[in-house]
Amino acid sequence: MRNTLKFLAVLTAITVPLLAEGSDTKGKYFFKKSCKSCHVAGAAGKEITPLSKTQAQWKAYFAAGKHNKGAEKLDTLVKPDQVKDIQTFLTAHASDSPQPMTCG
Amino acid sequence: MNSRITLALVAMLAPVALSAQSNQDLQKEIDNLKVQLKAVEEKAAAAQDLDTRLVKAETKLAGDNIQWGGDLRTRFDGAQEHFKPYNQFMGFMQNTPSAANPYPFAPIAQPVGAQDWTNSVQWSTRLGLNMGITINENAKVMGRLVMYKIHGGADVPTFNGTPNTISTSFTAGQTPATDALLVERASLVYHFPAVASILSIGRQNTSDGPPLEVREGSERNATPQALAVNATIDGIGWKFQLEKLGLPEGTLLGLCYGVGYESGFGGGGAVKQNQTIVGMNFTNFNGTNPSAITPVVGNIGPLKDTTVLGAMFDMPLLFQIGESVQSANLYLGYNRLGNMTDIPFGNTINFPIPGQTPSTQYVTATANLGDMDQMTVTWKHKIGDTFTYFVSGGYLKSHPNGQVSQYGAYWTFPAVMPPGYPTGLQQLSGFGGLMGDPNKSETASAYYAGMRYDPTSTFGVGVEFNHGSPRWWTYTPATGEYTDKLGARGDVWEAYIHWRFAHNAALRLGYIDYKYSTAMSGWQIGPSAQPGQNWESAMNLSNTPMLQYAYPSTVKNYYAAIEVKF
Repeated sequence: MRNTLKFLAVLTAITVPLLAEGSDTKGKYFFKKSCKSCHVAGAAGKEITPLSKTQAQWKAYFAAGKHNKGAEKLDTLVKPDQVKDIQTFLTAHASDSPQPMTCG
Repeated sequence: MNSRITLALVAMLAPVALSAQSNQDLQKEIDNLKVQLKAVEEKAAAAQDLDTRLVKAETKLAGDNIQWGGDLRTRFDGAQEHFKPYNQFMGFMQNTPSAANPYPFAPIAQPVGAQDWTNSVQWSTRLGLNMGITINENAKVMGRLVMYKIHGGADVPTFNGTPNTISTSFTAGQTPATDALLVERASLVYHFPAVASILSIGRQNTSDGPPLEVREGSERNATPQALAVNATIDGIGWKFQLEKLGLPEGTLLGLCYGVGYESGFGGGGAVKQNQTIVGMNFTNFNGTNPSAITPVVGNIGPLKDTTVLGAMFDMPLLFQIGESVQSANLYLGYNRLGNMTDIPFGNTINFPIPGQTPSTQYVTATANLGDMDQMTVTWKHKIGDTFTYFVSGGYLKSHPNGQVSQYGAYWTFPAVMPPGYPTGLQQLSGFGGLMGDPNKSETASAYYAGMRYDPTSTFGVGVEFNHGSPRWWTYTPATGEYTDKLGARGDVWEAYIHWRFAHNAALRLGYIDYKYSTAMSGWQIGPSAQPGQNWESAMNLSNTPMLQYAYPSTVKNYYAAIEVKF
């Protein structure tokens, strides 16, 4: 039992640093709430789903932090922690990810 | 091209320069032009190189209309199996007709004591290749190719806990087979935006459905719930997107139709109508009146197609409570299984009778046994990113047509037992009618529950439990585990650790504990109870039943796997 606890403690120690990542579930929620109002088929912002970009492209997009062709900063539209969650969701389900998906 | 223009310019400018400047100036100018010419040539070469690379990229992109992904799993399994005492049916022997048995043959049986078997090491590799091909803006072809085999020579018979394993194309990717890549999914998916619906034709994504994705730590892989079916089904499905009716985004109503057994030419559909004796009726036999035993006559052919007509409802929910974002799914499913056959078309890998070697039989359907109704419901709830739980339930109801399988209906003879062994009427676990009764509608149920805790985004632990009633059946050949889990007639516990130790790579450790209560888990057919017998008791593995094949009563399976996705 004691060895089992030690093993779990080691695993947790190894993996806890990765907690800094955003939340996939929250990201999906905030993406729907904040982004889908404009980015749907037929709307002015055109449809955008996680499949719209590759993982590298999403990473580059969020690193630039710009929206509307550079006219706005992302974190002026969405709270910074929510931006991180949205990035996690979009990257995790990008077109070249192991689990590509559309939003919904 | 640019270099040619430059040369032309030099040629045109040269005479002018000669007339206007001294030879020295002229030489200086020529040197300058040479430098400029070299720079232009270098730029042209660079442009040519860029053009070559662009052509290569465009060519690759044009030919890269198939998007690939997939997974690879290599797994170690160890298992301990316990067999309770039972009576092994050995076949028939010649018999001198007597008052007790007026026929010239009689069944014989051999008592077998309790046994423990161990398979300490079994390695397996499973490769899955997912592909998506965009045909046009509304049409795609979706596919999945799989190879799943035990380490060692190909074609080694593998028993998966569903006595007896039937190896057919339905089980591609679910039970170990050969090193061939098999088609698990291949369908044309067409989106009709005008009517908010999606049509899918072909080999459907009907494997690893909800809630199995909780254990896998992945997205939902299929529409049908795991308790309903976890196999590959050929057919047509039409899903309607109901969000336009005000229901939550992503809500679907699906209708599907599939063929489980095609009885066309070569499949029994062209067999002429005939009759044969398939069993004996002991209803009025009291042990002293052999004339009361009457033959059971079965109709042979023509076989009808086995069909599946189903409906499913899938409602995803995504909501926020305080700071916690939660997601949930409600799944409802109904399937009408029409003209069920006694056995599919393929090879059965028989569990070896203790002391003997495994055997493989080539089988085909012999009779349509009736229809079945199948209902399933699943609720899955994920709280934040850390805690997920699910509950799932299934219910079955048979509508038999009076027919029995011609493989083993006659095994309901009262067995002749050696002196000192149980006497009187013995129920033999063989084949027979739908859900163990060719004449009376029977029911069965199962439930499946589990939870998973992910304290970090890379580490999760989970526990699951499922229970199946004595007549429970569902078409879920082992879904990657050592033995079939959701088709078990009895109780199954599973605990696992899932650690993503690197990007797209995970280690999985687990233990599954099976306790089978009733014989013939995984089969939709069975013999009827004899007059005065209780079916559940006669099939109970604790009651020293008479079995055609050996069935473990408990299986303890521990495993370790490396899983990568790409």
